[in-house]
Amino acid sequence: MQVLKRRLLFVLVCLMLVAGTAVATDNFVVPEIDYATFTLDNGLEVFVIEDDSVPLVDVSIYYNVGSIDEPQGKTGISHFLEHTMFLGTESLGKGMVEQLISSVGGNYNAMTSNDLTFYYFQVPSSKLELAMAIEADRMNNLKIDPVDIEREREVIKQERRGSLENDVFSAALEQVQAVAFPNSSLGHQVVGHMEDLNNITAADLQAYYKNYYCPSNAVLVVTGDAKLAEVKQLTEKYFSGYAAGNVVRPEVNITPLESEVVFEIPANSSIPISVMIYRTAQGNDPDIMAISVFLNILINNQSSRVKQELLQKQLIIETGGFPFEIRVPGYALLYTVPMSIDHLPIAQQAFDAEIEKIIADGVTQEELNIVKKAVMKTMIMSQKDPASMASSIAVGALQYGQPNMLQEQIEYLNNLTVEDIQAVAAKYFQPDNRVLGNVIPVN
Amino acid sequence: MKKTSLLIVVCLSLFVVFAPTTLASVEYSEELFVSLSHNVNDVPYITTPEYSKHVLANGVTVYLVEDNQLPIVEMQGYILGGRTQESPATPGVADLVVQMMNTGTVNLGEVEFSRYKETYGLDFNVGVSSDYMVFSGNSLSLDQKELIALAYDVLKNPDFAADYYARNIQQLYQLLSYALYRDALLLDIFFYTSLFPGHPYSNGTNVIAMLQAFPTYTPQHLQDFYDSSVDPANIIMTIVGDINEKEMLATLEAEFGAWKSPNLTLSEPEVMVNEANFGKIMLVNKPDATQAKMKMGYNFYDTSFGEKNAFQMANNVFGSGTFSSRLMDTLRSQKGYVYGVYSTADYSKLGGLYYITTDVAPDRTYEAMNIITDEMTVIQDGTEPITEQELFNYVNFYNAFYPQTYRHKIDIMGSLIYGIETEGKSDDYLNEFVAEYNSLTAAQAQQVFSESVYPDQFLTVIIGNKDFILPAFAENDIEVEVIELF
Repeated sequence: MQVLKRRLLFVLVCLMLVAGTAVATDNFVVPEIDYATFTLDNGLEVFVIEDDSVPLVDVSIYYNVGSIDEPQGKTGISHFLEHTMFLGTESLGKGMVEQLISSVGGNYNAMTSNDLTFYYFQVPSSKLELAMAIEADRMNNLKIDPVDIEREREVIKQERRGSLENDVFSAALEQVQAVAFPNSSLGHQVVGHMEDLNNITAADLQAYYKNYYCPSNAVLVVTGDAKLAEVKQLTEKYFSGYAAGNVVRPEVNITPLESEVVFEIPANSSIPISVMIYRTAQGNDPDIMAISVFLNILINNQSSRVKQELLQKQLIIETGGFPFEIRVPGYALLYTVPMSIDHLPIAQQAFDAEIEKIIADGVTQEELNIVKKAVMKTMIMSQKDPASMASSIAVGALQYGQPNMLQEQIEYLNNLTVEDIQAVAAKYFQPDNRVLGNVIPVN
Repeated sequence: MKKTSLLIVVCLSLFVVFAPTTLASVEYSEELFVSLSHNVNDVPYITTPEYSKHVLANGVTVYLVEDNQLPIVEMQGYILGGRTQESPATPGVADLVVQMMNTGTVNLGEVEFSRYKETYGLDFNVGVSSDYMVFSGNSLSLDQKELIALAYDVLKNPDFAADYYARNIQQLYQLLSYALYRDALLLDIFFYTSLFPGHPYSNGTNVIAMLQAFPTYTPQHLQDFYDSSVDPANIIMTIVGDINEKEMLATLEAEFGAWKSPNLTLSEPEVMVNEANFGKIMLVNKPDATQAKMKMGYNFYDTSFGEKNAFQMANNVFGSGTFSSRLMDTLRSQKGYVYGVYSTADYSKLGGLYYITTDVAPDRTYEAMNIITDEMTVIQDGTEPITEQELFNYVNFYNAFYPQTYRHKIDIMGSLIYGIETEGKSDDYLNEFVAEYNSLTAAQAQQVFSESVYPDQFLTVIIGNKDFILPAFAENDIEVEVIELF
């Protein structure tokens, strides 16, 4: 079957000779996301994506608050409040959210990140009003019962043990993040420190809730089998009575790194792990797309530089990297898993050398084309599920006032050049912009 | 006039002060929410896509579906066999085989392989489970011929003697050694090897055996496994998307047609139940653990279990992981001990497992274990039987979400081909399942659960710090086998 090799050779030659004109590099237009939007007088912004392919509707609300808004000593309070939101209101008794939603055959969950808190109900389309009513009720009337809070505190502490403390990588990341962002709300994990989880009070939660949960600090997204007129009528019915609120999010303290920080993290592990945080741009900065492309070329693609040079040469056994996009200058998390502790120094040198090569010599058009092709395919595949775009619309609108941010990023990608990739590599991926924590096996 | 002005001022100031609440047009009450919640979802119907079935001369079975809504092509498939074809002396060889298949082929070295995939935007991966290898892939429709060519090359022409063999072995070895430090994987080593002793079903989790065996393997071991387990006659696949049926069939014939079937007979080693596991508690001491990770279970029915669907619904009531399931309600909502707790029936062709998993604070381990057993027992003995409302909630949930699960034709076909070709089901079996769970009564679910669970047969494996876990067991004179690894 040499035909495969011939095909590949042909395409690679085409890509090299006629860069920008082969199929793989054709610019593509991201299809318009067919949504409607309106805003209540109190500032609640609403997006509706109609899709009647199945008789379900998703009601999602995003609050513009996350772990970077947490003061020292109250880490984890955003996530704690997320749990509390399921414990009831003055009208919704304990367990009633679960009872009501399960009785109609629905589903629900929530998620807290660095920068926002997100809740969703997925219910039969005939039950849209139920979901809207619950979401509206708990936006304003949450009941914070000290007894319930004590029980939920234990659940959250168990969540921390399970998801962070007993996982070598997550526990290491917590330490690296703390060093990378000292005295900053970016320096802790979303779940918070155990000590703070023990100390957060019902009054703390009440104050935090009153401060951040209001219409002007939220975006409501309804996707699925729902009509705009009905959504509009229900939104006005349930949400228009609330005051806008006046949320002022705290400044995030980010002190400049003066030089690279490297430290060791002893851990009960058989293998070392290098966890790297590079400080980057804020989520809507045009550089973010270039950084993503850079990371794919450097480390993520199967044919990436690091995989070709380090993995295939048995210096490492695993690697990856991705940017954290938040409303303040964020960071890119990269990691390598050296083959053994003996390989750690040489693997790190080789890793740094690959970045230096890109900074010095840039990337090839072929490498860029491969990433563009992958993005094009992902965008086409995503049209199988139009509602999958809801999150990008909501986050773009809530954090940056740019609901079409994804399309803007794709347009930026279309125009991205190899020089742009080289530029972001030089701008953000220098050693003096990095904190590196090495997990050192102690057993 | 002055009084009127004063009244207006007072009214305005009241309005300003109370505006946030008085503007609200909704009086929230429990009655309001209950009135909004009455709902019985329609019984769904899954429309089977119009497909054509083709069996190539070598036995490769293909189901094709033309769907030109989007310019994409997706494929899913199975190669019957899987880990069951491993011998006791070659644990993990199936994993090595698929690792090599996903790295390159005889025709495409490692670098060319990844470049080929990325240049054409192809996704194609092979995995392995107990009873089969599974593969899936997709491409834009303009690259569909390259996708099929790649699929054939990966499945037919793996290069076990390639220069990346040693690296793959070393890489997997290192990752496996790391598994000993990951609670969930460590737990599975002891759980599966106890319940499937000496059987290939435990090979995929038997890290200790794999670590011992890997250094002894040669490319020939992988080739032998491949030769004894991969047969085109055992390949079933579906291709869905922007294809022309005739052209795709011609492409498949051109790529796969010349692959001769070796007419393999797959081995089916018997699963032996070890009664010494009944009621046994094993604790792997991990001094640095701040939680106890726990799995309780026993050998269970194989895929031919006739009451599988009824049991699935009953088991949802017991431990689906949703907040209304019995275990979650007690252990999380009432006690606050766990973040999640799940009961799972895991069916395989030669024998299944039933198990409950959760994580708890170490000093709650004994109590959590008893609660799980008690919750199972009160359903089984009818003290707190499954109610019509509990069953209705899950039936209603399934009716709502089943159409979403099968909203894409590739998902329907992926399920159908396995059911039709390996379990002899009809091509309407997705709807037969819907009809079955909709006709189920709480009494029937209760009966199936009562007859199918064995709380006295639990093997319990715990990973955690013995200093905090054992005292509660000791106080109650419960014997625990402690395993010291660290």
